[in-house]
Amino acid sequence: MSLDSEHSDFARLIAQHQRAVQSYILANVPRWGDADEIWQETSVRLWLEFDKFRPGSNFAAWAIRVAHFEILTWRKKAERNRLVFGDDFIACLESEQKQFTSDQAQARLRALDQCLESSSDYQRELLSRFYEPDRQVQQVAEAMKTSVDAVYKSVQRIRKGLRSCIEQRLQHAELSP
Amino acid sequence: MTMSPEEADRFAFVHELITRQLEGTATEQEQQQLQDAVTSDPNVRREYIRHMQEVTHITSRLVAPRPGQEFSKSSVLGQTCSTGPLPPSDAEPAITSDALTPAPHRPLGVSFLGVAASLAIAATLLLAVSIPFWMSDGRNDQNTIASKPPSTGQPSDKTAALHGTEVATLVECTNVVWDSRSNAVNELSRVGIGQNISFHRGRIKLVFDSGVETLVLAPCYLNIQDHNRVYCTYGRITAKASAGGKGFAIETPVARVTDLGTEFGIAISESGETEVAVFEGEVDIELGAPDARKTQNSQTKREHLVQGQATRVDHSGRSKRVFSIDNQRMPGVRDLAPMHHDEPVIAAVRDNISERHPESRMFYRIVHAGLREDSRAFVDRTHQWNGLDEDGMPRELLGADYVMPFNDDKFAGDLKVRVAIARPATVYVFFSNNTKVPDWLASGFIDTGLDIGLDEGANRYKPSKRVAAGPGKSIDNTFSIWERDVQSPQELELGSFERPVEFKRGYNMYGIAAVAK
Repeated sequence: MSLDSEHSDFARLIAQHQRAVQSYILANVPRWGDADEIWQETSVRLWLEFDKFRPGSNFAAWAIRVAHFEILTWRKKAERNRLVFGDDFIACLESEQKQFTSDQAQARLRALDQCLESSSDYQRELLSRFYEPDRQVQQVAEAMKTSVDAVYKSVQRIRKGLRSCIEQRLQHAELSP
Repeated sequence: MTMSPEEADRFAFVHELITRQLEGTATEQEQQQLQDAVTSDPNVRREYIRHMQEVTHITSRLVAPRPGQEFSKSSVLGQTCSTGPLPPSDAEPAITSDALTPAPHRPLGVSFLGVAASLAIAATLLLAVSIPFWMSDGRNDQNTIASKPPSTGQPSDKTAALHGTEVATLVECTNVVWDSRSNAVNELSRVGIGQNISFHRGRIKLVFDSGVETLVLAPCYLNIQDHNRVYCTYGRITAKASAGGKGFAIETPVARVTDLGTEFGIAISESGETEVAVFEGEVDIELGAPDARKTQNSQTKREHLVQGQATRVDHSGRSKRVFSIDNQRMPGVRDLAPMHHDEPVIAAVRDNISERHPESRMFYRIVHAGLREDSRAFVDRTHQWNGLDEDGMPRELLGADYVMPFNDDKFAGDLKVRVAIARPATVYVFFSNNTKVPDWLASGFIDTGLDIGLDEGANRYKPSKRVAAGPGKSIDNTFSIWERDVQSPQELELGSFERPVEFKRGYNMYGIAAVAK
């Protein structure tokens, strides 16, 4: 395989599977900045080790294994005063890696895409502000001209609505021929 | 579907604790509480994982980049990584990807180490800068998003709200000349909703996050409408969808084509007339302009095409058969490169099936400079041409133009296939040895004494059959190679043939190939 071709394949696979890997990292280290740092290290490692990836095998599963080791490395370096989950938590999620790459997970996220598209502009706006890293909820409340409590409640309600929408779409898909 | 009270409680519990974690306001106790619940209760664990997957997904879809993030991911990448072949020297004053690169262009290939290091750095920068974790920085590309979207097929308000959300990656540019600086996109850049892709030379490969690979050929003007839909004003696109990409749609001025699995090609003329061909799987076509379809609602005219079928839709929403489609005009996403760049020999193929069956949508695929081991033999089967033994197929056939007919043409009683030969050539017909030689073949062609094999894939008689790779393996039928000298451009007429006496094990349509003199 030529380097150009390898480069293209890598970009394609990353584009396709990055969110599965990122969600695994965030589940282990649920802080935007730290997760971002681990993702950067992971993506570099994936490229450097790409020649070890067997074409046709499960890229997402391989990438998540690489991410797992980057998480372990990061934990060793993490400042002691930082809140980090314990070893049993990390091991517990390691045993659930398949849940991040399963067909069912992909189907759920496709359904989520459709649900987001059918959400109102206000709902999407609120979610985009709420999940913006480094944005304080107070700032979100001011921007949306509402109270902090109302933001929390609204986001929870929207997320709950999206969850129901996902389940409905999946059920509908199962019933369809 | 509503949650049970228990599910709702669990959802709220996980949501609250995750929110505090993401905000950085979680206490040590709350951290411990979440950890204990996730490790001890499988239901909480499942909820936690789903919640995190959804947060990641929502964030990547909706969250805009940080303001003030001024540097361009593409320009950083461009400093270290070649973006493919240089533009032609006679390039017009339009802007190429390379021309946008601020630093001097450093081609790959100085030394292997140099190449590897350069790519590694490029990849590092690409990943560090172009695919940041949660930030969909499509808005950084506003300078590459043309201000004027296509006049038709405007995105809906909902789509407009997702404007800039990155949904695809430009993985390959070959000899591309962009229509303007504002529309130029660098190789390995991310592409977002609302973005226009417009170039008048070359080809690009665009891979959607949904798993759809597209090959887009110039001249082309298209607009990304959402994660699984584009509007193409003119141009040629071939799309290949994995299971996750099912539902990918291409809107054109006269039709909407929705992929129901695998691969199809579409060519839109500058007037908007649209040709659609299905290479594998099936597609749905809604006929008519977008506005007309909206008003027609349930009365929208539709067509369903399966593998080996093609149609042309005109401005009034009428469709008619396309007889032949060649691989230069509409290549497959993963087609092998042609074996040479000589002028085509086979210009077109027609038949008389439409006279009796106007509803027929079968097409002949012409493959220029493409005959080689494992070449697909028919548009409606996965059968392949191969040499009979490990020496391979006769050398003179390698790189020939050839035609993939419809294998089911073998059932047509009074078939007339007209093959337009563009220049002096030797024309070959591969005719099965288990079938009686018809008069039109015996009188117009000479048996060369050479043979070629057909490796059959799954079919109605052998549903579990699979093709093998390379010559001399899994050959199911032997075909004699007949030839005819053609001295000047002309149309050859080939005919039908009788069903063999021993037909229960299946039989096949003939093959057609041509080599320039």
